[in-house]
Order: sequence, then C-alpha cells, then structure tokens
Amino acid sequence: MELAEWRSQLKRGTLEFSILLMISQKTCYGYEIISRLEKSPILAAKESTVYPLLRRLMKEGLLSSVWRESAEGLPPRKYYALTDKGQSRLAAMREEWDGLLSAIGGIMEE
Amino acid sequence: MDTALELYLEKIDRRLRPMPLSERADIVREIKSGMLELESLGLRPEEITARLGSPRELAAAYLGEAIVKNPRFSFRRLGTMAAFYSLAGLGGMIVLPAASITAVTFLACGALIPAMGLGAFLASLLGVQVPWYMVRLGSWTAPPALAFPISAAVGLLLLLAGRGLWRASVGFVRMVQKKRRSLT
Repeated sequence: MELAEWRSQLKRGTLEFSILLMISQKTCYGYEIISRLEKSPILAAKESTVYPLLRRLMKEGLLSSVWRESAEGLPPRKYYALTDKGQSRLAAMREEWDGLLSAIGGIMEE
Repeated sequence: MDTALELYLEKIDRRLRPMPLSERADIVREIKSGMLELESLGLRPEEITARLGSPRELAAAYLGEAIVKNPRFSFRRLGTMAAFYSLAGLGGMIVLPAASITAVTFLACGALIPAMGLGAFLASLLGVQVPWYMVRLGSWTAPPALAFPISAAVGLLLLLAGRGLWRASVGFVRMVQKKRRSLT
C-alpha cells in the first residue's frame, strides 16, 4: 500500500515532464502519447488523465496544437508541439531532474 | 461510429456545458478521435468506453483541471465549480456549495458596503438626511462622518473572508483532483 502510494506520487510528479519530453522530440497526438506511456508501467496513464493534462499545458501556453487529416480510414488527429515557453519550461525541468538524479546518486555512493 | 460511443460523447458534451463552446467542441472532437483510433486497432465499443472511464469521471477530470489551473474568481469559474461539485461526491455536495457561495456573497457585500458608506458620507457633506441609510450597531448609530471609514473596514474584512473562502474552495477541488489521480 505504502509503496503503491509512493509510486503514484512519482508518476504524478513526472508525468508532465515525460509528456513534454516526448513532444519535444517530435509532434505527437494524444493516443500516441498514451500508448508510448503504456509501454512502461511506472508511467502508464489513462485517457482521463492525459487528455485533460494536455489541455491544461496548452492553456498554460506550453503547448500549441493543430488538427491534421490522417491516412484513409484513420481519424483526423490533434498534434501537439512545444511553444517557446514550453521549451524553456522543459529545459528548466531537465535541470531539476539532473540535479535530483545526481543528488540521489551521491547519497547512494556514500 | 457506434451509437454507444456517440451517446458517450453526447454525455461528455452535456457535462462540460459550463465551458466555452469552442473549447467544449474541441475536447469532444479529441475524445472522438481517440475512440476512432482505438476502434481502428480492433477494440470493441465496450472496451473503448471501459478504457475511457465513465463520462462523468472524464468530464470531471476536465472541469477539475480547468479550476485548478487558475485560482482567480470569475462567474464562469463559479459555474465550472458548480458543475464540478455535482460530480465530486457527497463531501463536495456540502463543503463546496457552502464555501463557494458564501465566498461570492462575502465578495459582493465587501464591495457594496463601502460603496454605500461612501454614499452616506457624501450625502452628509451635502447636508442631505437619509434616515434609512446609516451605520448602526445595536442602539448606537455612527455619525455620518464615520460611516465611510467604518463601512470601508467592514467591507475589507468581508473581502478578505470571501477571498479566503474562495481559495479554500479551490484548495478543496485541488485535493479531490489529487485523490482522484492517485486512484487512477
């Protein structure tokens, strides 16, 4: 129970970072993000978490979006890209992340 | 598209009514796109709706994010909050309506009372007597010159109390959101 709670806190704390990272590599649509997250159980998040989160990131001005037609038989998709503000937020998050990893690494080596 | 899925989208649309029309349409369109994506992978309609969770939960997640992202007060936000607390369970049924409605009342009175005090003060400067327009505490009636400072102080206290309650309402929504997320 306690471990599960800790895991869900980790997930909650890193979901935004994972999604921004993914979008920074290439523009992504919602389902693509969900299925990529599903590959790792620690990151897996449902539609009801990811879609509203994407909308909030857009409202905060970190993401921009555009609807694009897809190939025959597939629905139009809403693609997300990082804005300049999103880029700088991600860079700041990365710095924090590296700091966290090296701090924990330091403790482990003591 | 399957009628069960169409029905699901209609329910979502109805529950998101406090949001601006264009935003609501975009949300529904995105969920629909996700459904078609899953359908093209061979999932059955029941499996798709099971993945998405109930329309109620999904709509609540959108409304919750919309409240949490900005704690400032506006009437649209009050509407969003009302829609959210109808989805937030029994605790929300009592705490949120009481806190958010009291907050609005306090904010409104906090603005109105100093305005009236100013009115009474200006009337006394012009030498006009307005008998039913005064600051009164029990049997003591404040002289017109004091009406404005007293009402300004009372108004300020009410504004502060209203703001505190509004923040508390937003905090409560934030807590419910967090709990909901840790369950998923």
